[in-house]
Amino acid sequence: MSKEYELRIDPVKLSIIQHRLDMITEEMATTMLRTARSTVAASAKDYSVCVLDSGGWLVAVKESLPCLLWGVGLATRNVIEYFKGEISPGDLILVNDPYTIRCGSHLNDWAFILPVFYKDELVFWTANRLHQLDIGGNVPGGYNIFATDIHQEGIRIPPVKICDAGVFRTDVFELLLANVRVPTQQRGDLMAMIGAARTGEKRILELIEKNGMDFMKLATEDLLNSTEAAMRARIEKLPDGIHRGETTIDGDAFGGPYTFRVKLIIEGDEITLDFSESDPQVKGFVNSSYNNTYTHAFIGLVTNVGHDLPHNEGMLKPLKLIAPEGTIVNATYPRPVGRCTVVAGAAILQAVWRAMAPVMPERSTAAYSMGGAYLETAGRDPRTDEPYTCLHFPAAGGGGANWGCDGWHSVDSANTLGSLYSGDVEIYEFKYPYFITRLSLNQDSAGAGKWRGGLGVDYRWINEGSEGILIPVGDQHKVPQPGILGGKAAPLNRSYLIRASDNSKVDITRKEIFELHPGDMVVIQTTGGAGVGDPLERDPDVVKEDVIQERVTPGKAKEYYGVLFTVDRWPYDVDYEGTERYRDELRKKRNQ
Amino acid sequence: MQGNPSGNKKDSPRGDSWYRIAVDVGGTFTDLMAVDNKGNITVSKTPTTRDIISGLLNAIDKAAGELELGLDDLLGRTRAIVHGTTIATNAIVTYSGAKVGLLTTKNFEDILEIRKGHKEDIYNLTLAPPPVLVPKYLRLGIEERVKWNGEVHTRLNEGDVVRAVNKLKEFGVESVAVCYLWSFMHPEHEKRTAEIVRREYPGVYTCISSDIAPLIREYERTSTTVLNAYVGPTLAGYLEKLQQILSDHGYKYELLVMQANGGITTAKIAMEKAVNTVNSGIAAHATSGTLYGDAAGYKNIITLEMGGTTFEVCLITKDRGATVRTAGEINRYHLSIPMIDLHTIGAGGGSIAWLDPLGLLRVGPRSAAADPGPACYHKGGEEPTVTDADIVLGYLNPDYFCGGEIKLDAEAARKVIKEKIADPLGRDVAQAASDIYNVINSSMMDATRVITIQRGEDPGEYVAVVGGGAGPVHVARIAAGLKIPVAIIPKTSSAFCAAGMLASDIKHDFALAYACRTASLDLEKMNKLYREMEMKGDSTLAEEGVPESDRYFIRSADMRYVGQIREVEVEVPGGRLTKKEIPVIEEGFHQRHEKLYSHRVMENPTEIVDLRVIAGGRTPKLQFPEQRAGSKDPSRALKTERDVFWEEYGKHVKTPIYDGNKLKYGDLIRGPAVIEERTTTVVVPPGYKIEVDIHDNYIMRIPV
Repeated sequence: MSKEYELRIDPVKLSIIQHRLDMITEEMATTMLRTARSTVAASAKDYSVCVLDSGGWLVAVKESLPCLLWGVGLATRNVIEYFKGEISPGDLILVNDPYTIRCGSHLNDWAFILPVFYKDELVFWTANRLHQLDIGGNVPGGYNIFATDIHQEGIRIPPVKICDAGVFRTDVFELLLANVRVPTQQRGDLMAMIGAARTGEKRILELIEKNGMDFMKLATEDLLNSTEAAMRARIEKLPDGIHRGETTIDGDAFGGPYTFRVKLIIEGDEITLDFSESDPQVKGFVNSSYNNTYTHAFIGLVTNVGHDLPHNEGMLKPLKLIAPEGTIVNATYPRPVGRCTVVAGAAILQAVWRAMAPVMPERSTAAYSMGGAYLETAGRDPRTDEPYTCLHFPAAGGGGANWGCDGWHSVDSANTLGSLYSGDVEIYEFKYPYFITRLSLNQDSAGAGKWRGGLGVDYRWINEGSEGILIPVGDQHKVPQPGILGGKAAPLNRSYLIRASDNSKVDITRKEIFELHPGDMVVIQTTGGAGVGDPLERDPDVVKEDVIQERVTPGKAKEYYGVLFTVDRWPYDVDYEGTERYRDELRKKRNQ
Repeated sequence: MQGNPSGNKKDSPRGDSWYRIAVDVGGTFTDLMAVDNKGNITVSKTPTTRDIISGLLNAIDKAAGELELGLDDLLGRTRAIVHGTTIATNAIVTYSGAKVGLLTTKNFEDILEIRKGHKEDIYNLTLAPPPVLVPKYLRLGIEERVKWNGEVHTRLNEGDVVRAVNKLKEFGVESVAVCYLWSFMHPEHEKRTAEIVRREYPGVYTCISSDIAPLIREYERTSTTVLNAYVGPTLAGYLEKLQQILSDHGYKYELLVMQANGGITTAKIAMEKAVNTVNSGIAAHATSGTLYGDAAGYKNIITLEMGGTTFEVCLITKDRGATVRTAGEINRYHLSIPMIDLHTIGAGGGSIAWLDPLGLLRVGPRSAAADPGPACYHKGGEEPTVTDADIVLGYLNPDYFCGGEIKLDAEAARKVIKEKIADPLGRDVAQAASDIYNVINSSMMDATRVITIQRGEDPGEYVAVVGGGAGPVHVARIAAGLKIPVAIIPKTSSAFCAAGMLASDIKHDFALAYACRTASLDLEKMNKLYREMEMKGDSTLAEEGVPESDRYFIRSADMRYVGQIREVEVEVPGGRLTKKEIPVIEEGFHQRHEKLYSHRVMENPTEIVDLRVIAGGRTPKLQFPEQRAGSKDPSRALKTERDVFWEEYGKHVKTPIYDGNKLKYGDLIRGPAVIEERTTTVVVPPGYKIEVDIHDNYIMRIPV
């Protein structure tokens, strides 16, 4: 393709169409957000919505959780292949399975994919994915840390027509709901998803009515092609070369640590992400599925090379993914993949970020905390005598620092890029039988750097529910996540519970399923993001501000940043000369 | 607010007439509308001054001049001044609010800084969070705790409060915000805390979350209460001073202030609930739209106001009036107060046109504002703006902008569009200017879709009411694109919001949490809560001098399907509720949900979350005087001809230009034409018709 793509329709009209498509996805998102039942959907916004062209390429993606988004294009293209063209007006496809031609990420993320027909021709698709509260399987919620095959994680749904030529398959729908633990809530969530897909369809048809299908076809082609050309032009400007990045995680219930390795090859106007050197697939649920790897590998480049280009899949066309089967980035059936969207996803994304840091230092981002809702609990709520499963979004760790900017507090792991809402204390207490005793920033939890990471939180609660279970699904209890370009790692995540029966302290960082008794107290201290750049280059006045704001203690200001104070309490006067001397000393020590 | 007429002034040219005045202070201009007891309207416009108050007095003085009265004479005859102010909005946008101390439930001091851990623009890796309005050392935890059902878990530790207040006093905070967990279920701890604060630190501005935003979700409640404390002292100081100066000049009544909820209140209450005055001014869209719509005989209205920097749009439906949202954002800070559902985007005369990385034309949201302003202002602006494009297209007359008070440089406009847009895109200047015009119109159409199509409303069933200086230049195409058949263009479109303020009722919002499944409602409790709020509203209105016969109450409830997290507001009938009304309320919810989200779930039980009451006080209605009919022939107003670009012809063609001052009721003009008013210009494309109606407003018919 030539570098200068020549638009076939008027650029002004094209920008209007692009705008309308974005608005359509926004309206789809609003429908999901306002009508969904679960905190996952309605509070945390753990979903994605998009519009795709007739071939299944994403053309508009606004308002979406990135880790649930970019693989939907791949899924749709595979659905087309799966049904071998047997798709009719009035069809609506549901899918979650990662192993039937790479449609799903993990079993929790159910996607509705809706073909949009205009005058009997398939012209667009609308789609959305939402993390389901439960998917059957051995463990409520779906995060089965002891699963050794995917069947222990939950129900597999290969592409299935939940609406077949306009007939809603109530039988299939009820079959699925009969296999989940909180069917009432999930029925509402699934209705919200279908409502969103239909809303998108309605608006696209209006747009076609107005502009004509021939024009719309040219417009979507122009959108994808011009974005691809712009992405290629940018890659072309980067020097050819090979760069490596890796992320190591604690592991699973059966072993660890495991490492995700990427070889990033810039050649001409293309970038290849080769994960061949990653560890082999493992026994537990931290494996990644191909679809999930596709998503996260490419987010790593969307965020820097293409951050200000229109977000459509034209951007991904110059990118190649090599993820050999049987490695931790492309597990084979029947390996479990339950935790792939969070831990493996963040690991893959951060490996790409590390590899890109020397290429585009001005867009570099350090590791976020590895947690991702951190723990899941399940039990019965005595107030309603109904079962519940709960993902603890308030226990979110901090974001990694960026070149030129400190990280954000409590934004959760990198795969979300900060789009989740961490949840409200009052909503959690209202929906779950928990009494939350603390939610505050976790001092000194950020990785130091010229730009420091955002802070994690200190989150504590008492179980006022019945007997239940607690499943820690976080990471970063053993292996710290490093900083970039001289920035430091953040400390480790800490968590424990205190038994009401005997006040004993139980470490819950181990991968185990713990019993949760009435009155037990759970303490989670999440870590922050890693730093970017040498902490000794951080402006002492900015360090002072962090001390005043109690994000950093005076002790750590000295230890991490080499900043000394003449007055060691509020309002803290920096000892500039002393600081310079001490920093020199630290630099010398470092060089020895 | 009602009272005895001031002494008769027999020798004055105005006899014993008396006035009501609205003053809308904007960033660039202060617009005023005065109406006398016979309904005669006077409008004035002056530049906004740095100190605000002198510009405001200038506007009153100018109006007084038009009425052949002295400033003090006019104020002596004025029985109500309604004020639209940007003080609160500006304090937040420019970070110039008060030094605030925040008292929270112990161990939850950081809720404000955690911000729900949400980043707004996720692909923008270098976006920094907004500054935290209260630093950590001024966020102090107090031992106390209420549970989810309103039960006290830990009693308020008053010693903690005393110690905290003394610390805040040492730090010299100017105001104190109090927000405890679940306080909306049990406000006693916050109330007692406020008493202690006032006792220990007399004179400090104090507010509590159960007064300001008594709703579930602690982050939103804290953020709102902090914003209130942040703008409170500044607003209070300003309003006190203004009230004093006005009364020094003879004004004998209490100053009234426009609020975000579209109603007005007394300055005294505005000082307490200061945050309710964000969007003061533009919130008048709701009443303005209704006012002009009613006058022309239309009920379904979309108001479109395009000024220098922003475009505001508001939807008013026949049955429900303007939508009032219960939450919003200002400068990235969350706000949970009832606000007229206005959609604002960065689109105005000053919006800058630019090419994005793909070479696609974009316009806005960045604006050249008034300073440096568009290139044609010749004040150093080097970027092409919408106003520059409007000049190149021949829509604006460079010698008659603001009635000739501001001279524009047409050559500068042409040059900047050529260099920055036309040449890189490889098209001629006129086409490039037309593209800019189309792109900004398209953005405004999208903004209008947000509050129409996205709310399930078809804009084709609505009539546009147009405000702002730039609105009438662009409205024809916006309306056509949305298939809006009629646009009402007030001759004084720049005083659009001031007119709304004169027509606004006094309005107070109350909300109480009452979580309960609809099937097991405790009617007695529900009746009691509604009564409680209505009594509170009643006494507030009484305090404001609203006669009993002018007070009214509107009830609603926030409802959802059990298990849902977001609510939908549903109407609730007044009076004593019995079993009979419950199914009606529930069906209202199903209908609303279906309308908004294209599905209902009959088998899913529903629940009530909050009860709401609006307490209103009617004010005298504003009525536009009727004009005498003219000859229907507009030729007397024909001023000249000039070359104007029309998309239909793809080029500039000779077009008649009319003097708006000379047009009369009944005159009909067929496009293409341009009508020049002192403060705006009406663009009438080929095939469009426009006439002057009996109230001296323009009615444009759009060929759809």
